[in-house]
Amino acid sequence: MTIDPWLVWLAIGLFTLFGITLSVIAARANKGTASDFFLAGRTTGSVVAGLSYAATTYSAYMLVVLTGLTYRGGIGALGFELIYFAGLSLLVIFAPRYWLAAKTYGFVSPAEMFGARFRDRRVARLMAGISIVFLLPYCTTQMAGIGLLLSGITDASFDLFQSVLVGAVLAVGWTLFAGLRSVAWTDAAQAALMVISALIALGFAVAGLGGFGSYLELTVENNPEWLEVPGPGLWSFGTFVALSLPWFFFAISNPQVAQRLFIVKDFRSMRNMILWVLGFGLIFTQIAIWWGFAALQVAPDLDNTSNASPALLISGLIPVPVVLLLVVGILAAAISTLNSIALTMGALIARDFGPRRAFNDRTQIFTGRIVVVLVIVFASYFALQSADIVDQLAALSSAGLMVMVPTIIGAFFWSRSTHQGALWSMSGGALVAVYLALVQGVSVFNPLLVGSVAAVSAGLFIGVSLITKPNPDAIDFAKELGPELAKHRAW
Amino acid sequence: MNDDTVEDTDTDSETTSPRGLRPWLWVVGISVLSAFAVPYLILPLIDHPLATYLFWSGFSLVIAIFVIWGVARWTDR
Repeated sequence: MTIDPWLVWLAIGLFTLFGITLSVIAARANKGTASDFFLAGRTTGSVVAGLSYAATTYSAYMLVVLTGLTYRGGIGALGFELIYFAGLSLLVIFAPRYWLAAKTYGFVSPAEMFGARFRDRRVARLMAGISIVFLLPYCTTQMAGIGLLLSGITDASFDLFQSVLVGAVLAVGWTLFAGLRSVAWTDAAQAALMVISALIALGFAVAGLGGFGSYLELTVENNPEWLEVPGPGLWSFGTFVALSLPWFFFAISNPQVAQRLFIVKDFRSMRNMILWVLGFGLIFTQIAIWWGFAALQVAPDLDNTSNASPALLISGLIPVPVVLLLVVGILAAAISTLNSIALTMGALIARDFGPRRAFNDRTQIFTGRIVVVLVIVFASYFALQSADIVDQLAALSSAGLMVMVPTIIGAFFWSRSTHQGALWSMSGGALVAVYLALVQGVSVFNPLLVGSVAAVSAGLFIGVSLITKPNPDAIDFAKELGPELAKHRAW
Repeated sequence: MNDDTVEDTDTDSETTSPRGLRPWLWVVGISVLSAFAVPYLILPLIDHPLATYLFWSGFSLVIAIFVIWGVARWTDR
């Protein structure tokens, strides 16, 4: 069975109409300041912030790549994703600090915050540059995910170009309308759509396999190796560490999610936002894994495991309306991640690279809009070049962004840390990541890559900080934020 | 911030770390390490087809509980 492309177009059309309506309403609430455009005026409530965070972090990766990893390597994919989930515990420590610092000093981009902390704008610029370099491949995976999905369910009637075009137009449109406010609102709606549609589709898939008992029995009988690690080959311990470790730090190393911590209106909203993300993550991770196992039963001989999700969708087990709903859900997942990253990159460029005095609110918003368009054009271009390396590209972005972790931790907890330590740590770690991955050809599945990056960036941060002096005007976050943290009863 | 506010907070008298942080860090750290080690070292010894799935799913619930513990006392007052 394949899905008629016109039905897919119709579903996308309805989805677009819904998103445009939300964006227009959101645009009316904007006041024209940079803080309003990039952070929705720091007034977002817990439900929208939580669902927006969830939609940003749980992307098309979940139902395309993670499902493919489950199909290919089995239960190790669950452990891998849950190590990421465990990384949300970092929010208990870092979310209050990010929020208080941003509110106290008026930071808009995460990089800007660390530049001010070390009183060296080069730190902010380097951080912004590294974020952009390593996040672009991640954007590409979202585009590629859309392409794989739409071409997979329509028997290639929907080609990669059309798919990428749809993703690009929607992502640009919803971001340019009203910045973060429209992104957050559409994110929230998309997150709800994603999880509900995936849950319904999984229900039909399981029912089609004879019910949960039968589905479980089939999996245990046909694929016992997939239910343990290392499984059929993918999840050796080294690979598991190599892929999981960078993802553990995702919540603080990825600026598009870290910036979400700036947008909530108060502590109560921040707490509830974290709880929303937790609940969403628990449910959605299980759905993605069980979805992969269902695909393994329904279409066991796929050459390209990234097609596991489309194969299950067109298996005939799932009614066409539900297929369309889930297709729109996955499309929504990709777009919400893509436009969040693009908007964050806009903030990074506008706030960290632009000349401070010359860049008023209007110029910053204009710059942000230009960057959003450029990012999405770049992501589209790279997605059109190849769709086969999605796993590696996405994983490399996390390994690359991990070079910022020592600086982030040190900024909040080590008063003695210096701007020189931050600069050496991030540039040294990034160079090692690029050298090993691109020059030496070390795979992201090899723990040597992530181990080297972590060791070099942490070693340089500590070593250089110890032999250099902190900038006398640096903001000591540990000291400055301590009383406020205590007042809010946060650790 | 005045001294009264500082006195109202829960901090260990002999250290600068807030009360509860250290045990929280320990249990979260041990849980995360076990999520790496147990499925590869211990679970292969257990003859149950869903052992790994159940262990990791249980781990995610434990982490959720720890996060709830960590944010439970936050207040705007």
